[in-house]
Amino acid sequence: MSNLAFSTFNDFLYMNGHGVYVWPVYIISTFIILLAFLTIYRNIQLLRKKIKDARG
Amino acid sequence: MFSSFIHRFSSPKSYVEITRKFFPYISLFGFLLLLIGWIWGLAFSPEDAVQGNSYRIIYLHVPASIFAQLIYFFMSICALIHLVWRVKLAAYLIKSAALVGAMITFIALFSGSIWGIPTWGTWWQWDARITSTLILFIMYLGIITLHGSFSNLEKADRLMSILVVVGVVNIPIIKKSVDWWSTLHQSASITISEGASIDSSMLYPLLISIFGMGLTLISLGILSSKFYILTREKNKKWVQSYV
Repeated sequence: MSNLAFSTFNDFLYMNGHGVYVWPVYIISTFIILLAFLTIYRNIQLLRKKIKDARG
Repeated sequence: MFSSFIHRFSSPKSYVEITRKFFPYISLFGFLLLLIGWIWGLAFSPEDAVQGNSYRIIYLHVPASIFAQLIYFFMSICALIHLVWRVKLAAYLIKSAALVGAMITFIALFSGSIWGIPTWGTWWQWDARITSTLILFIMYLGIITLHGSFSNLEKADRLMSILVVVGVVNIPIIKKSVDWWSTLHQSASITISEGASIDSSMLYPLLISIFGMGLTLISLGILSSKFYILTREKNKKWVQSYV
């Protein structure tokens, strides 16, 4: 893990022309996973509030 | 004896209380491992001699594909437990896992399609591996839809379990499709019997990404199942005191 595969940050982003495929995959997939976490967490909070309100 | 063991440890209340303790550690450790695996794979692993840098999608695509199948396998075990011993928690876990399974199968298909553009020259091909994975995605959606279409939830649990058990036949087909048919998709890079066919500089970050993705999905599954259990049991006394 000691050596970077790219000499500059621009090379890292460009990836010899393959960055246009690699980065969208990681960004969109991370967004989907985080969105799933946030949506379920928010739904749990809303449900807890609903149950508490119903209890009075 | 086995039946009483299953019933003792399958109370939704115990499940929610136990998973609540482990959730922060599993999710944090999962995120960290995934981050390390991805940074290592994206920035430090060498360029592939044949595929160039497009191969770096492997650190997302392979973990996603593995867990797309493993989640379904887990659901099929839960379905058997529900059908044989009528354990409610098993049905709750199937419903929760199906959402996570559908999400990760979509990511596996999406990442594979994008990877296919520079590697194969096409984003889609009706070959055995890709088509059987698409069928898996449709099955996840079918399971969620089937369960949602019944007002009698006990009946929905049973029918969903039957569908899951029938559909498990697709898992060995996905796994073996690259061996049984001549496909565009490459054969497995890591197998239990033959080990890994890729260099250690690419293999280690891949293994870390696989563990990280596994723990991340387990924590998402815990969260999803907690929401579903609280929804189903909201009128029970333990839920009233839990919230």
